[in-house]
Amino acid sequence: MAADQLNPGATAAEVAIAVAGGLGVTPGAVQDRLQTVTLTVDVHQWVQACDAVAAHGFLVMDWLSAVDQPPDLRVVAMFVRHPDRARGVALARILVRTTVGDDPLASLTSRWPSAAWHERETAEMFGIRFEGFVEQTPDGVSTSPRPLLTAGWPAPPVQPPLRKTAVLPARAARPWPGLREPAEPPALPGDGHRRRTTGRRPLPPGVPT
Amino acid sequence: MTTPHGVIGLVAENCTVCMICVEECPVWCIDIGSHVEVEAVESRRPVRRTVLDSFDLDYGLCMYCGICVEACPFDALHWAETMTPPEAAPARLIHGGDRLSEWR
Amino acid sequence: MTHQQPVVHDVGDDLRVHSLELACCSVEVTQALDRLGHPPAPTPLTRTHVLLVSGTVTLTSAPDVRAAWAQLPEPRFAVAFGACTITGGPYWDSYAVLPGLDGVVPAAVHVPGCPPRPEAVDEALAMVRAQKSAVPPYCRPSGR
Repeated sequence: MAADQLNPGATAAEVAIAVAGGLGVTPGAVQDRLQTVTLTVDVHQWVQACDAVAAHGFLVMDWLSAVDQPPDLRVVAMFVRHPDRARGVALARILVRTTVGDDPLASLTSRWPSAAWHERETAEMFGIRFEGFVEQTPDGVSTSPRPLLTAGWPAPPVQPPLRKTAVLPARAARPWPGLREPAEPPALPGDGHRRRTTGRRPLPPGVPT
Repeated sequence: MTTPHGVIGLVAENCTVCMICVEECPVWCIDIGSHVEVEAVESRRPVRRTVLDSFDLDYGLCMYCGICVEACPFDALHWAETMTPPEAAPARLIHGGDRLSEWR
Repeated sequence: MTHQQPVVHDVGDDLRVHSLELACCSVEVTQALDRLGHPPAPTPLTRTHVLLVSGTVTLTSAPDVRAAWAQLPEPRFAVAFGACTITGGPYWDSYAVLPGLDGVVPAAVHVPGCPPRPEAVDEALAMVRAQKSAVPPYCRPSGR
């Protein structure tokens, strides 16, 4: 991607379109909505896309996380370009997004060491595996994302807790009081009517079905 | 709401056991027990009526969001100005229908 | 735990309260203790009677609660202030939150509310005073 084709003050949308063109992804990959420019790329282009965005001055990997929106599990990373008034560069952000499947996602930690914290959190909360993860720790180099929150817990969560499919143990242990039916009366001839068996609310989330 | 953060009271006569408050409560703190009474009416199909047996609200769980008060179609639940008193035993925080009806 | 001495409120009647502030209910507790007119003073927990826990007890903060409780001498009283501290409250179903203080330390008084009003601190302390005076004298070490 030739970063010098655009002027340094190009808007986030211009940069995202240029990056999308360089990667050969569909024009619909760039969305400019709610003051956020989103670039959607294929999962195998993840590192390439982040590199290309950074080459246009979006050097800061500000944030990385995942969104579980069934049927898709998406990983998003926000890249920020710092303002430089002398060169006419305004503050701008690009959100790079990909949909991950069962395969692991390439880690950004070799390029942005600060991504380690975010990837650790995303691995712990969403169960996403990161390939090529490296982190400098006081004890040396760590190559697998250490849990941030649940380490040392007596009962760590069985499933990644922020996945929609995760069953909340507290909700599984207690029956939902909304399911309670009034005692059935003795059956009467010609009486087929049963109260509250139709039009009921579906079970609340986090409950095993 | 101009009244201070109060307690949720019950008007048991208004409750039709529609279960909407139980279903809407985000913390599952309401539990309603009921039974069905069948009234024989001459020359017609029998009339079935759901009768309220128990109405338990766990104030150890309740977050006073007021969704149950808003959701109740029959104004059986209302905000009362009194405060829920502290208790030594957590089980005492589960207020039954008789206690809930006293809140004004 | 911090290396500084914990902040303890002397609320009169020879009753010293350490407020363990874990979440937002602590704003009400701070307001209530301020209004009682007894400024906080650094005091060792070994001279404190009441552990006033307000806020969400999580799996991560539970060891700190247990460590603070272990320092209190008998007779000691724990107060669970607010729905989170009693049952987990709005977070009762969270993977990270314990279903109440009672699983960590035995609470003598449970104050419902989300949050309770500051006045509820007065009521809770009155209940603690009543429970403390019911403790037989031979269970009370001298000077306490």
